[in-house]
Amino acid sequence: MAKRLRIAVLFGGRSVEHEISVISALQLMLAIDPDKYEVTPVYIAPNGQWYTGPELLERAFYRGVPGCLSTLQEVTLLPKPGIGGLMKLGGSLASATRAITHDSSIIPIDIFLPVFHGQYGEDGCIQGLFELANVPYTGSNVPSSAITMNKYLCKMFLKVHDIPVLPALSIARKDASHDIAAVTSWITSQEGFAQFPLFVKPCNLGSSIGVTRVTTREELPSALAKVFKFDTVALIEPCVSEIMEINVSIRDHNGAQASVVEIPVSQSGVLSYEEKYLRDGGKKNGPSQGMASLTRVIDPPDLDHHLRDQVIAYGKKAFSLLGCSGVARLDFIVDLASGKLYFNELNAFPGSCSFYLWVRSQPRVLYTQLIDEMIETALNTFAVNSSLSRDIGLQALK
Amino acid sequence: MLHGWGRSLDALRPLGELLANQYRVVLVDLPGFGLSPIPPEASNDGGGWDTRQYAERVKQLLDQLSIDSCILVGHSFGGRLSVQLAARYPHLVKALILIGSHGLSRQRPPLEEVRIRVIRFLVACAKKIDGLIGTRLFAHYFAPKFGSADYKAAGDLRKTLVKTVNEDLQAQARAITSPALLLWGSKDTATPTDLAYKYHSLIADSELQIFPDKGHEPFSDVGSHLCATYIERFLNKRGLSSE
Repeated sequence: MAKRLRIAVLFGGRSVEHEISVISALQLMLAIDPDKYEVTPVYIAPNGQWYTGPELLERAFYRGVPGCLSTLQEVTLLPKPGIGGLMKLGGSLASATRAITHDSSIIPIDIFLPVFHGQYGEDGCIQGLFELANVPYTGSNVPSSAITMNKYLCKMFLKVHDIPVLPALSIARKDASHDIAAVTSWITSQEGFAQFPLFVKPCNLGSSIGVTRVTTREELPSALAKVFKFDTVALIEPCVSEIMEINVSIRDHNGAQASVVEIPVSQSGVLSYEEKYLRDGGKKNGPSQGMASLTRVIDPPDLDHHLRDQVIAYGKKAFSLLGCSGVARLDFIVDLASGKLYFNELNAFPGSCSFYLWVRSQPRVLYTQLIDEMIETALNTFAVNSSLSRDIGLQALK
Repeated sequence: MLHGWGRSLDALRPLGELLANQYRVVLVDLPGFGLSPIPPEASNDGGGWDTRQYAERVKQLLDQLSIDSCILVGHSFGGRLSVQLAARYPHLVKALILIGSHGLSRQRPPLEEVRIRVIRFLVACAKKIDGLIGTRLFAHYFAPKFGSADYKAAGDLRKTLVKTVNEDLQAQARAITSPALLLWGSKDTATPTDLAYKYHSLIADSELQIFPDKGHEPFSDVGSHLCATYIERFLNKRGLSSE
């Protein structure tokens, strides 16, 4: 057997989408090719501590968190190039840090595969750590992850590049707490925002958490307060009354490739967290399978071809403009009254890695192959970045 | 694609759907499982079927579907039948994929072996006593206490289960000339990996792949993508791709 690549699959994290990340990672580790890769699962607990151990491959283990974490090996990644892997932590951090020079304290890793949804994992934070540690990693880099996580910045950026987006306002928590009445008045005085209903949502969160459909001006403060429980910036958007969502997954493998499109089926007009991940309480049909279990129509044959082609074209364009890598999912909405299509958001690491779309695409891509190609791309990117000149010698200090 | 004992074609459906991208896939509810009724001769009153009879029934189905050459995918009990079929009809089976397959007797650890022998002796005694004085020691005590979950749930297929479980298909496995891929989970407790190695040594042209951290159904959930990858890779390598 050829030497296997040692791969760390990182998941969990300090995000409201912690559990969904665990589900996505367990799925990914079921599909990854054991002949090619030696997997080290790395679970980031809700408190931010990193752990590894074979128990992490068992779904049932997570029911015992945090109590069961003491059975695992605590690890970390230091922002120091050349270490070659994860460092085992034991006893005090200081003694562990001193032990860096001992090989036994390092778990060798060739490449990192982050499987996070939401803050600290999908927004450029952990990618920043990978960059500092100078290790290869899959998916989008720091700036791409950061801008795609911020729904407002992402929309404004794409709007400049002629990708249609709905009007949007961004409200900072500090402004709202300073004078909520003034903020409310300002919102309703903006063009297109005098009419209700409006959507109020966290600017940096996925999974529909903290989203409110506001029908009167009086409801705005409480909707903003709800957002500010989760985020420091709120996004306000007009509510499209007759709406259809269309999603497409894009990946970079020999250029931007598009999957088939999907239309998520909503029961209440907007996809709530429960609908996305916990429909039927997540119990009726066995354990939740994350995004792969959502009720959806994949590649509907009766979808207007022009609309589908537009989604794919805008999807590829947005993916490339934002400098994304790996596998992303781009969500669009169609205003059924006007027939207009709008970009809604981009998930730099989508739930279930959108494998359920790629397996229906032509050419079909099995999840095992999808992972292979993500890793291949990441290694190529790392090689290119490593070839860049960073040392120009002493000049200013001479 | 032939499923395991107590299951139906639904167990292999996710894997079948993935393979259907390249191949014409036929998923079967084996007689007595899923929507297929128990044939009278396979019932307890009929004396039960052995793997040969099951294999003949599958052959009959293939004839009805005008399939004169196929790739067989067998899981567990379905693997047992696939081995029987491949040995009996070498020209019919172009390739064989066995996943966590039964069909071979195996060397048990010494303690387990002693336990099994003691139970078998006691069962024989109980049956004798039942026959002599009309008690129901076996049915009321031994079967519920020592019978496997499959045995307890077998119902009208109990005789078939006993017959097929007791068969050792070593000779049939050795007779297989088709290329075979053996997919096993390292944590398979129903058909432990020593069976995989045994099949690998018996089937002349076989490849073995043991998936770490997977159990008796490595194709379950997203594992179907991994199994489909290996199956397609193997068949392509053997020139058995659909193109």
